[in-house]
Amino acid sequence: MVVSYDVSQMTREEDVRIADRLMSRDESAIGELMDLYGGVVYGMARRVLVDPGLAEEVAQDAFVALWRRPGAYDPLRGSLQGFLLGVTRNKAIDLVRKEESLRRTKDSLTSELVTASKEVTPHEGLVERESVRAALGELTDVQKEALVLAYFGGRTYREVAEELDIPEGTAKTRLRDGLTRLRQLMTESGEGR
Amino acid sequence: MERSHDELKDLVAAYVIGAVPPDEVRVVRAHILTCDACMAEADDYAAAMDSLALAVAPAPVPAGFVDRVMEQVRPVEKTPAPAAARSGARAWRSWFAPAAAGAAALVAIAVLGAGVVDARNDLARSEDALAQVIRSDEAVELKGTGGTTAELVPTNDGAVFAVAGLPEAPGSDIYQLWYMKMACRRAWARSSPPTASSSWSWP
Repeated sequence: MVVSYDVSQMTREEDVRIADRLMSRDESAIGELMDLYGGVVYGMARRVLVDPGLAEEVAQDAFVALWRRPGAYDPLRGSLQGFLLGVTRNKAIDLVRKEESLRRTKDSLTSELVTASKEVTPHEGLVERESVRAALGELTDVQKEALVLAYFGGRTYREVAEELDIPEGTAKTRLRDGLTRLRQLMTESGEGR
Repeated sequence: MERSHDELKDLVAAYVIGAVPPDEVRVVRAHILTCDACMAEADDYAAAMDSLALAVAPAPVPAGFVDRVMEQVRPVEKTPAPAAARSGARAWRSWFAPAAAGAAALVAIAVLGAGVVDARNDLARSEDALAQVIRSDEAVELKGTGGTTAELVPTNDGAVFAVAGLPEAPGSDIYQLWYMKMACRRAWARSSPPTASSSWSWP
């Protein structure tokens, strides 16, 4: 299935070219990737971890890991940016789960998501980001809260339930409904473009 | 107790977002893999989750960020660095750590030449053997008894192994280093090197 809101065809072709260069051990490809996605990757690490030092380490690890195992990225399965962000988020969440003190509070996690922020460079997926932000604005507050706690806070659905003082079944439902609605909105916004 | 389809279906979204607790992950994954409807649902959730990542605003990377990454990705022979430059827990890995896994299914343990060598004598001839060990995050540092230290670094073709402070092998024994494919590493790691001489002293 082709997802219309996904990165443009041009970006995907560029992803394939960069992936090929990584496979042929062209180190300048990593430099180029950092120019393109360094800001969003570091932004993701900061979003989950807050601590600048830890965030930098995680963001660097994401690029180095891709360099070491370029085959881990498959252009047919998604964008390079999405891949790097996924790797970064997973590494950051692993840290949060190991270290209780890194856990962000519910309020600090949820306050930033839909707040517009100054863009570092306009070409770093600005259109996609605005679409996602707009879509998130359409979710109910409780859906957003559950998604943010799980996705950026690394909470399990049981922890979400406990933290929000709701039954576990409700936490599962909010996650499911939130993702379903988000998917729906993103597909619609992609079709509208 | 067997869980119903509906119970497991309720967990598909949580699974995709990584919010299923460890004690339930296996059962949910097994279900998704065998249920076409839940698999299709998981694909949809995954696409939605990917878009969540895109909501994050970029942040200016700290000064030196790019250089620090490039130091780690440049061909290893270009970046020798003193041992002291390596830091803390990340640099120090235990004997059996899977740290070398990044070297594309290659190395378990390594050589200064193929087959069996008298490593100690080879190293004694080469005072700068340790300096030749390329510093990279792929390196596995090893610590033996009595202050023996070694470092194993995967390369494209095999690996470099350097050791310092190795005691004299008793009698006519020699040290042996074996080069093995990655697939053998696990079996090997469970016991002493199966064919090593008695003088092998790790861990």
